[in-house]
Amino acid sequence: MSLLEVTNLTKNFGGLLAVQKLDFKIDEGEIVGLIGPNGAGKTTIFNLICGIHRPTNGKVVFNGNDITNLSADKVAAYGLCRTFQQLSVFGDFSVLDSELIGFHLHAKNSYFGSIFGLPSILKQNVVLKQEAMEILKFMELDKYSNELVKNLPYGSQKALGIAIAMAAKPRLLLLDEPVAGMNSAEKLAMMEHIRRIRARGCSILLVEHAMKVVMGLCERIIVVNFGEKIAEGIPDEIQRNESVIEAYLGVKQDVDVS
Amino acid sequence: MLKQKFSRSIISLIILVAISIAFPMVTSPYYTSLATMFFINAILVVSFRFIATMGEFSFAHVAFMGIGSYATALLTTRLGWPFWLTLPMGGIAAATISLVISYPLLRMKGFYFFVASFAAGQSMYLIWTKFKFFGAFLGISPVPPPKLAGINFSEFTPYYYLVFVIAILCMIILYRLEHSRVGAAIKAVAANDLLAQSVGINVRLYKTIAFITGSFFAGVAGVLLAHRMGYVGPDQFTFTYNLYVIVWTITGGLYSFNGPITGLVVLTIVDIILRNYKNVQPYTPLIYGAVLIITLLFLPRGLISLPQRVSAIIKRKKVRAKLVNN
Repeated sequence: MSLLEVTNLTKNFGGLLAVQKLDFKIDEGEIVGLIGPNGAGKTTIFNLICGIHRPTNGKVVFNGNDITNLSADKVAAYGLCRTFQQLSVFGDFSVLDSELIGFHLHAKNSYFGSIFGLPSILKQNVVLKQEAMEILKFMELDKYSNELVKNLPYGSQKALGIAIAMAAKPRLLLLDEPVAGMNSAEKLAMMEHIRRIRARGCSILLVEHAMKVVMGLCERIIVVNFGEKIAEGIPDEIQRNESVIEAYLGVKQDVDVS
Repeated sequence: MLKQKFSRSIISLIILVAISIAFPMVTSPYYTSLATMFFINAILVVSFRFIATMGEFSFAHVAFMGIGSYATALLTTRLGWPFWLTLPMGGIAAATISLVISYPLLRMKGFYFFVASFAAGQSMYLIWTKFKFFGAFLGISPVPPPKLAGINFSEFTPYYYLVFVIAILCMIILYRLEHSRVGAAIKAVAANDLLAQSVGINVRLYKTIAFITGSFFAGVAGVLLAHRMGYVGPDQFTFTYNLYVIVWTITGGLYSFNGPITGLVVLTIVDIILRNYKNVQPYTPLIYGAVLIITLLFLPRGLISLPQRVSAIIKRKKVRAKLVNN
């Protein structure tokens, strides 16, 4: 049984067919890439899978559970989380506080317990702080723990977005352009982080435009254009695939050089 | 450094509590009565801000105070319930009605929420003025004072201490809630609701929690108001009152727990001073408006951010001076 099975996924925004009859699977332990030209529908596909938009048609099954029409918070409870390309963090929060929010699904968020200062709640706060620092260290953000998120460099904010998603202990993580705006060194560091996240037991589906990153990280790549899947395969195959080249560069034209 | 900050806050807290306890012993009953009103407003303003941490301003807040007032007035005068029961009941009544209203209301955001909450508040006002059950324009009176073992709560000073203790309790509860995971989830929803959802936070649930909690305490403040005045009437729960709550909050500082109370203190003092100048006093709302605008222009994070701003400006001047001299 696949970890994620998307069947016949379709989204119609009142006349604009953003996603058409999309089928794909993701197995446990994979790092899969979702690529395509701008406007191909990649972020919409993410939104459909994780519950921000409801599909017009089709099914999304995660770990055997039908999550098709569930809202994002319920989907997260099943173990599927995502990061965001823009607005990837909680503005005005400190790094540590942002990370602590991520533990929501796994912590006791007791209303009356908090008022009365129950020992279980107080103990939990200590434990969660330690766990938060561990994840921040993993993403190399621990030195920023008391810093305000808005003072962080852009690359670190994206890394924090991933760290927050990790706190929710997902089995599948949807990364939306994790290396956007990063320099080469940062990109390499992020690639290493993503591999280590997979090693910790979390599968990855990522949307990215930086081809070197995609080809270097992903074992399998799905290519979409105009909301439809146009190719799927290993990086080598995708790079040589004519429809893919056509989608990005256009049809080969014979140029008269005379 | 953090320990230093912590012990400084404890000391200031102790000083404030000491002043509050000594207050009625050194002032006239008139000022004691004003101080009682101050603590009632303190509950109102801190609970208003609790709702504001979810990112919305409630224009029904004073109306929920009214629900608490009417609840206690009806229960004590018509059913003979004691104050000690009607105090939580006023809060529960306000919380229940806020839960019902939250179904349509929390579908809205920003300005729409603001206007819709205003409409909700006005509906309650209309119900109180139209129906004989609520005493229409004349309201309900007299509302009996609380009874406890021989203490005469119709006197200013005993009632002041009662309100003071209840206010402190309310502050503690609201403070703990804000600094708990519940409070953090509410703020996360306000900061980025999509991201909050993606880590499993039910946005609707936490907005509802914020709204009901804030409204509960508005109801409690209403109960305390009713027994202070000995009377409950629709004229007490006006649009202007809700505006004042907003002005206290923003002037003091929306982004911290102590902000709104600071705003309340400063503007209450302004109000008391103005009362001595009979020709200026009718212009109080105008002055409040001016204070609000000046605050938004020069200290957008409120009076409570003043020490930070001053030290930031001094720092900047020092750095500039250093650069110039080099």
